[in-house]
Amino acid sequence: MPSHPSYYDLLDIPSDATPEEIRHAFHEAARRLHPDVSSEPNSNEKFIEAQMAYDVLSDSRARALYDQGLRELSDSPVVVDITYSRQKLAVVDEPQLIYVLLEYSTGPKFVHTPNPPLNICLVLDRSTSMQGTRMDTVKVAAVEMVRQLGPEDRLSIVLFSDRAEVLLSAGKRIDRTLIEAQIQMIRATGGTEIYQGLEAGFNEVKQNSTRSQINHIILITDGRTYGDEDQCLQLAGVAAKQGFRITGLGIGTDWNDEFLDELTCRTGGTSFYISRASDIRTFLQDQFTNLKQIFAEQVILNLSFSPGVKITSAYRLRPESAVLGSTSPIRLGSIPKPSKLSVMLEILAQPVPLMKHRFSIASGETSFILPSDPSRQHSIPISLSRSVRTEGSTGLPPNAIFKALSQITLFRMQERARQEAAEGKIQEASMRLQRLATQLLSLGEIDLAQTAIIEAERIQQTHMLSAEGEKQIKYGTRTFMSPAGAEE
Amino acid sequence: MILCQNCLHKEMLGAIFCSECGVQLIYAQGVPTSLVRMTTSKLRAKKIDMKSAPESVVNSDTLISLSIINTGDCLPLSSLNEVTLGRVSEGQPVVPDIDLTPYKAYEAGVSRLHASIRMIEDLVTVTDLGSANGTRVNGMQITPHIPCPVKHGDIITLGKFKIQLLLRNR
Repeated sequence: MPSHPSYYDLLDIPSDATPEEIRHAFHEAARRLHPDVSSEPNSNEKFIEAQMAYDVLSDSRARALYDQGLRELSDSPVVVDITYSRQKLAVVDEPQLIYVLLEYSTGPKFVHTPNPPLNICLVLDRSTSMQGTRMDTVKVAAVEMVRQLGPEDRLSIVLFSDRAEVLLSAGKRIDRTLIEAQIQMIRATGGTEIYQGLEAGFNEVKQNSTRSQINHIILITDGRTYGDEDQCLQLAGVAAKQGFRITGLGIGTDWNDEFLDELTCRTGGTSFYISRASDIRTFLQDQFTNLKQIFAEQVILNLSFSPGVKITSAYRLRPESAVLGSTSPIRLGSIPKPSKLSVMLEILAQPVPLMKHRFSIASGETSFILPSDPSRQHSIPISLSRSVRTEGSTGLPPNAIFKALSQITLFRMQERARQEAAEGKIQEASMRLQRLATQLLSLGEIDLAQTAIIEAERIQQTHMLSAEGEKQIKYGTRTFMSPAGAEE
Repeated sequence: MILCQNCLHKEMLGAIFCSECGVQLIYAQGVPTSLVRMTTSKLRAKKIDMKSAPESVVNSDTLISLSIINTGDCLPLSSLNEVTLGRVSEGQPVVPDIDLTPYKAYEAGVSRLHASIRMIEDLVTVTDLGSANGTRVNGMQITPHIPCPVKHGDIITLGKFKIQLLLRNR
């Protein structure tokens, strides 16, 4: 915040106030502060200030310039842009939806802060099913990762099957040739017990964790874990409290995507799916690049809602698209630099009471850890509100919201089809997949549309979705949510 | 309350897309929009046509499916070499492989044994089996009992019953 009050503060209005609200606030202030009626000391100066504020804010061009200047003056390490799907809430006696897009980016004074070093643990599945190309590609990818480490970065590698083994401990100085030789020696054998690996990985990261690093666990698996899922989820909760995130990668079709989603989501991380072993390298490469760009970690949105208002769903659009939990506090993940963290909230509001001029949807804060300044917990206030109108249009959704929602809709159709299939509603699921295919075709996503059509037919014949098609459609539609290349 | 024009599902005020069928419900700023009012099958055929050449190679791996234009249903054909189309009614000695009765075939004038679809080597053909109301391919009447070659995306009309032929390589 700038040291002197902003024009918005002077008029006591939110920074996204509508022109009517600005006019209204100014008239109110003018009546109160006019030197002829006011008995307040220095009301004259205040009146002039309010007039100045109104002059700027009532002119849309001047206001835009002023907003930009205000932004550049901001001392906050993270700035947030809030976009709403509608300018106003309608006064009606039925529930209504409003979509809110939150975009977090690095504050102007922190653009040149160096990115923090990494403390990563690779937790690799070495069960028998990994044998062959999968294991080989993982080895190559791991070696590449070792080569890219900076002098400050720490890497540990844990192998697991039915027990875990620490191949490389984070504490040691790395002798690259030795490590590379050791990686090459990995042999695939045994079953899959994710908890074993995860726990060892967690301990490795914890051993060396400081708050000035990016602490991260990358779990690569291709199988289901049996019986220890609850333990894994608990551990994920502990990891999240320590400020560690978990990224999960599932290879092939036999792993449990719902479990991996839940596991990573609890830490603000993401799960990924790859069908071909050859994609492991690109995946790890991307992960490494993304981790290197992190500016703020463990971003948590903590909101308290007005009565009758709640979040019905929340999605992260980027850096990595994912479904987020819908109960506050929500773990949003990390803020990259120079890019953004974008989150879409779907909010359901019960009928709006008439008497209010402006309806407060929610207020709270976004807290985050800044590895470049780890001494304290940082947070920025978030307040969501909309003005209310009784008649006429409530405004059209801005382009960014529109685009993002069109993609989210596809993902949700896929989710519902899956749910219907699980409940045995074969006709509904098949119908939905066909509709999904229609939408995918209109976007030009022919391959994915065909997968959807095949699955729609398959479910009619076998009453089940194929594990492969299911994952392909899920992760396929999820990638669309990330507006990479769509903006800027 | 907003009513989806495509599937008549009721959506809450403020919704932008229909959660049932994914169709856009309202117009947005600066987005060139067109409300898609096509059936799944029409759109599917239209889009696939753009990509795969009509003369794509047909071989033993090709999957044939029939899309019923009016209802949007898609019937995958089994790997039989010949499939007969028609209706099943009481006391009928020879029944067709595919019964079109559930899709209102009777009202559309489909005979009990109307036509057959055959795949011989690299050619897919449709043959009218002497039906009462005849068979058309892309609007052209075909001669009964003489196989007529068809390709991906062709519309086959049995009486007034429209079917689109979709071929896809495995």
